[in-house]
Parts: sequence; structure tokens; C-alpha cells
Amino acid sequence: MSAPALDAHTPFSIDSERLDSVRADVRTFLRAEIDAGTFVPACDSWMSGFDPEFSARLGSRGWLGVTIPEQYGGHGGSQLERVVIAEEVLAHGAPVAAHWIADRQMAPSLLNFGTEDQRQKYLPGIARGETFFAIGMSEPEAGSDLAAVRTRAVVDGDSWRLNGTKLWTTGAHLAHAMVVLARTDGEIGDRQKGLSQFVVDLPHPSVEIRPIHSIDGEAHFNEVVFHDAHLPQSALLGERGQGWTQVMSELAFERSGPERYLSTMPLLRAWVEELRRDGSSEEQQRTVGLLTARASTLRQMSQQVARELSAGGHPDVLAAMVKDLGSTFEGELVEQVRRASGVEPRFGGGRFAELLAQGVLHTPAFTLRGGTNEILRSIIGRGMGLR
Amino acid sequence: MTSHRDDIRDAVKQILAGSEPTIGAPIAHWDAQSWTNLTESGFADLGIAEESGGSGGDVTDAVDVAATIAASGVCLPIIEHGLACWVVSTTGLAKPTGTGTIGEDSSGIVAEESSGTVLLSGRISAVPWASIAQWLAVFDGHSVAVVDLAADGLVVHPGTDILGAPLCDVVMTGVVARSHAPTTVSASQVRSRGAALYSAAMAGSARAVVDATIRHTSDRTQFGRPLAKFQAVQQRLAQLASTVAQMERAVDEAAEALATDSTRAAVALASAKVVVSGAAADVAAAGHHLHGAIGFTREHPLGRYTGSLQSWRNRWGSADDWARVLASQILDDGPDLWDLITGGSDVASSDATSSDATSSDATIGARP
Ligand SMILES: Cc1cc2nc3c(=O)[nH]c(=O)nc-3n(C[C@H](O)[C@H](O)[C@H](O)COP(=O)(O)OP(=O)(O)OC[C@H]3O[C@@H](n4cnc5c(N)ncnc54)[C@H](O)[C@@H]3O)c2cc1C
Repeated sequence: MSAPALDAHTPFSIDSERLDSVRADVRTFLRAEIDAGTFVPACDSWMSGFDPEFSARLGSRGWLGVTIPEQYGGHGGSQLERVVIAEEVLAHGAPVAAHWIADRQMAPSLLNFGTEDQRQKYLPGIARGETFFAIGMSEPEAGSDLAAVRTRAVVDGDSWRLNGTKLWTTGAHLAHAMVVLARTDGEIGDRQKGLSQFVVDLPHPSVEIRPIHSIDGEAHFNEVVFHDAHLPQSALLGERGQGWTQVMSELAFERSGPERYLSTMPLLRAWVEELRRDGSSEEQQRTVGLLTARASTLRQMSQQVARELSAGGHPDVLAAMVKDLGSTFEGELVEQVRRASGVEPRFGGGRFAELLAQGVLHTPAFTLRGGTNEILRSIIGRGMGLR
Repeated sequence: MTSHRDDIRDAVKQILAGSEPTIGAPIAHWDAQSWTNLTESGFADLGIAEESGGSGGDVTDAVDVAATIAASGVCLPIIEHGLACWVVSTTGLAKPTGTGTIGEDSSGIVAEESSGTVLLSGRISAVPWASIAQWLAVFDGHSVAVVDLAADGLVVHPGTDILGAPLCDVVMTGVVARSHAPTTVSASQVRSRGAALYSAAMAGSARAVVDATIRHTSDRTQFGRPLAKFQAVQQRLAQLASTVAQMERAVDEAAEALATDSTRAAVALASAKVVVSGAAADVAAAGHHLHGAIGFTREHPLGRYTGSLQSWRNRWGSADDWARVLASQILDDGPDLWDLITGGSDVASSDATSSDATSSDATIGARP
């Protein structure tokens, strides 16, 4: 792993001054952007706020690809610095969906498993906020049971041929590439054995991307069909047959970040602003306090995961705990704010009502995406030695 | 730092292992021998400066002792004695000998000065351990009076909490205070310390519930398999473990913040009491549910821990009380909610979270 070594054995507080100044800079930038009207804070903006220009602005300030080494266009910073930036953009509901997956998990994955050519090809664009990725794990028959993927890649001369269907692929219609988990060896019954990962550049003449409309009226995710798609030999990511192990290490980054408890923070902040202006009842104060306490503690847990990841550890169980507690919290926040505010969630009824509407509509996704809470609990159970 | 904390926890475990704690709930008699061992070895007044008659160390040490004792299932007046000694130490008065205690709310007491002595009258409700302690610290927000619990004119009306530990009403009629002096600590500082210690103790009890429940579900067989092999059981165990990990994180953050960083402390402490008190009932419920009927019996250790959780939830402020304290830090012209959570520079410049958190006095003091 690249950057993580930087802060191994370094107590969190030592670079806290640097982190504070990064936080202050990002915050100043975000407030100026909001004041200039370049974005309106939204719930779940890391999934639905797709704004390439905004991504590029973050990139030009050095706030993307933070942990990518400088030789690949990154900034050689720490995982904790990345977390601080992530916390701020999420809490401000900034439109970060375009680069989110690339920056969060493709960068570490390419650094861990990619060839020199692959790193050169993708990492500088990721750090500039110009290269976007999608994740092709789920399939029609492989949801929680990811090892049941049927998409198959076979060798054909000096290239690969890919057939199969991926489902729920967020942002594939806008991404420059997607990483695909496919079977290269053995049969479906071989489960975790014989899987490999590929980086597929998009658009591709034999890759069909069909939008799927979601209950929020938008179309963030897709069905992606591979019609005998030819890929160069160099599309293989990491080692043939090591796809499962690689995907699990990718999931550590996918599951542990602050987006697993902060998706609805913009709603809580907007509500608090209203209460400060208009006054509050005892019940409303109680709700604000309960939610603040939980958010604050979840943040402490999430930072602990980041610290352990930084030190090269594998905090799988703790990360699963944070995602289980955090994604549950994101939904409960919406429910409690709705109840205590008495406001009808709707569009066109003001900023707060709209944030509430976004929160209500997005809530079902929180405990599904990135692995359902039941699956997370089974990981925790295994960590407790129950299985 | 971690190793120092581990040392304290290990030492307390060692001391408690030396005596035979009575397990089971409700408790029939309290473990006087453990208490003697603990006080004699100086662990009962950690977090109080040595020049004030304490054993030194900081509040983190006191928190660790409280958590370790709770996790061991031994029921002792550690928190009230420690708080009473600490409050007295802030006055410059000498530490009284014997076991002390303190009530959360002494507002029902009227003090009269008469020819150099102070006479106290009135009632303090729900004073833990008053029936076994020797002295009582009466704190009115400005000064501290030390009262002999066997003094003339003082009646202890005995009672217990649901765990069986003493919880008594103390009624005084012209009781002569043994000593009396002003203090610099505020009511909210005392309340904060009480809340921190009880949060830690509850996290300790909650950890014991998890451990006991894992052990039980791994040992107990039904349908030909250990219970822990059933997915429904695993899912509930995993949720229980996550909840308790969250409690522990909140307590650690509060203890560290109290000992080091005063701006962060107000938020961390309120958050800890909200998170811990708020989850206490869920932890108790999951523990009992997964134990089946055996956990409902008197001789089983589980009741000691779940009884603690249920008894202690509201000590020094309930989850709701502390939620309102936290909210007032934000809503009463305090910093933005996110600034408060991240402890950014905007927080440091705000009065709302100044070190003694006096701005929240009114709200905390207003508890029924
Ligand atoms: C908004 C959104 C975006 C997404 N983006 C992507 C993406 O970009 N790329 C991608 O690859 N995937 C993506 N996904 C898919 C996501 O990973 C899957 O939805 C998830 O893994 C669950 O799979 P499933 O939907 O097939 O549900 P299923 O696996 O069919 O599960 C249905 C229900 O059964 C429960 N269940 C299943 N198995 C078990 C078990 N063994 N024990 C107990 N309960 C069980 C589940 O917890 C769930 O409650 C996205 C999903 C959402 C909602």
C-alpha cells in the first residue's frame, strides 16, 4: 500500500494542526461555493450530486487523490487528511458523486494491485477530478451473495472476451471506466475461487449501458450488459484468480468512510438553522441533542477505522460495525427530523422541505448499498468467533 | 497512556479477585471486603490530588476504575465516594475518614449559620449508599458541607435501587455540619463528572453483558447446535456488540477530552451520556432475550449487569437531559452543529462550550 505507511505509528494528534488547517480551507471553499450558488447542499450528494466541474475544482486545489503518491499526480498525503476532506464535503452536501468512487476505492485499488501502466493511465486523472469510475460487482443473480457472479471473461488470443450482466452500477453512464468482477476460471460452484477483476474503459462499443430509474425520480444506476466485449490483455487488474481477495480489500475502503453516517447530515444542519432562527420546543431540542450525540460518536468510531487503515491494519469488524450503526442512523435521522419538525417533505416548498424529501426517498438505499446490514452483521459475527 | 490505563484496570481486577464478590441480583449484601481492599490500596480516590488527600491521577483514572468495577459485577460505592471526596478536595477542607457519599440534588437543604456552626435542614432524595456510608457531602452549587451520617437530627430512610444497592432519602433537622467551606467548582462540573463516571460504569456493565451473552450462546445447545450457530442469534449478537462498541468509544472520547481538552469535553461528555444511557435498555433487553429463562434467575450473574444498566441510566442526568444540554450549546447562539461535532476553530471561540460549561447549568440544574 502506498500512503498508509506515512502515518503508521503516528498518533492521531500529532498532525492534528495540519488536519485542522485543511479542514478550515475546505470549509472556507465550500462556504464560498454555496454563497456563489454553484451548488445547493443536498442529502446523499455523494451518490446523486454529479458535477464534473465541481470535481475538477476540488482536484485543482489538491483535495482529490490525497493519498496517491506524487509520481502519479497525487499528493502523498495521509488517509486521515482524505477523511477530513470527505467529512467536510459530505456535511456540506456538496456534489461529489462524479469522482467519489474513483477517489475512494479505485485509487487505493490501483495502487495496491494495478500495473505501472494502469497507474500512469488512471491515477493522474483521478487526482485532477477528471477520471470517473463505476463499480461492477452486483448482478441479477448475485447481490448479497457476491461470489455467485456469472459474468465471465475468457482469453481470446492476446485479449479477453467479456460476457454477462452487471446490475445497479452507479454512474456507469457517466464514468470513464468501470471495474468488473468476473469469473475467469472454474465454475459458478467454485465460488470465491477463479474470480478476477478487470478495468473496462467506457464507453465501449460492445458494452450496453441501460439506465435504471429509481424512486427518487432520477437514474443514478444502470444495468450494464457485456456483449462479447473485447478487452486488451492489459485490462486485467491484479492477479488472475485473486479477484475475491482484491474485492474484499476494496470493500474495506468502500464500507468504512464517513459517507456511511453523513449522507443526511445536510438535513440536520438545515433544520438546526431553522430552529436557531425560529426557536425550538423541548421535544425539538431533545431530538437535536440525541442526533448530535450519535453523529459525534459515530464520527469517533469512523475515525478510529481510518486510523487503523492508515496504520496498515484490517479493521473489517469495526468498519462493519460503523456501517451498520451509521447507515441505520442516517435513516433514523430523517425519520426523527421529520417527526419533530412537523414539516411535509416535498419539492418546491423551500430548501428544508426539499432536503427532507431527498432524505425520505434515499433512506431505503442506506442499508442496502455497499453490502446490506445483515451481511455486515454476519461479518461482525465471524469476527466474534460465532461462525 | 494506554498501558497506564491497562495497568490501572489490571490492578483493580487483581484487588477484586482477592475477595469473593457476591454475584446475583438483587444483591443481598454489599461486598464490604472488596471495598476495604480497594480503599486501602488507594483506588477509591483516584483523580483527586495527593495534597488534597487523594491518590493523584486524573479523571481518566477514576473513569477506568469505575468501568472495571462495574464490569466485574461487584457493587461498590466507588462513584459517590469518589465524587464526595473530590468535591470536598475543591474546598481545601481535609478529606474526612471513612466512606462518603453525595446526592445529585441538594437543593432541598437550607443552611443556617449560628455562632460559628452551620445547621442544615431539609431532605435529599435518592442518595446512593447513604445507609452504609459514614459521611455525606452536601453541595449547594457554591459551598460544600460535610455531614456525619450518624449525627443528631439526621435520619436515613433506607431503600434500594432495582439492583438492590442502597438508595436512601436523607432527612436533616438542624444537623450540625462537621465542616463547611466555599468551593470553586460549579454544579455543572460536578454533574459532568458524575455523568462521566456513570457512563463509564454502564459501558463496563454493557461489556459484561456482551461477554456473558457470547459465552452463554456458545455453550447452550438447542436443536442440536449451539445457539450462536443460528443466524438470527448471530445477527442480534452482532448488533449488541456494535452498540456496546459505540458506548465504549463514546466513554473513551469523553474521558480523554475531560482530562485534556476543555472545549471538546462539553460535547464529548454530553454525547457519551446520551449514547450510553440511550442504549442501556437495549443492551439489557438483548442480553436477557438471548440468555433465555436462566438469565432471569437470581443466581445468574447477568442480572447484576442488566440491573446496573437499568438503575444507572438516569444517574446525573438521563439521555434526554443531556440531549437538551447538547442542543442548548448549538441552539442558544452557539456554534453550528457540524462545527460543534468536529471541534473546529469556530467552537474554540464560542462561549457556549467554555471549560466549565456553565452555560448549560440552568438546563442541567432544572432536572426534576
Ligand atoms: C443505491 C444503490 C447503489 C448501488 N450501487 C452499486 C454499484 O455501483 N455497484 C454494484 O456492484 N452494486 C451496487 N449496488 C448493489 C448493492 O451492492 C446490492 O443492492 C446489495 O449488495 C444487496 O444485494 P441485492 O439488492 O441483490 O439484495 P439481496 O441480496 O437479494 O438481499 C435482499 C434482502 O435479503 C437479505 N439477505 C440476503 N442474503 C442474506 C443472508 N445470507 N442472511 C440474511 N439476510 C440476507 C438482505 O440483507 C436484504 O435485506 C447498489 C445498491 C443500491 C441500493
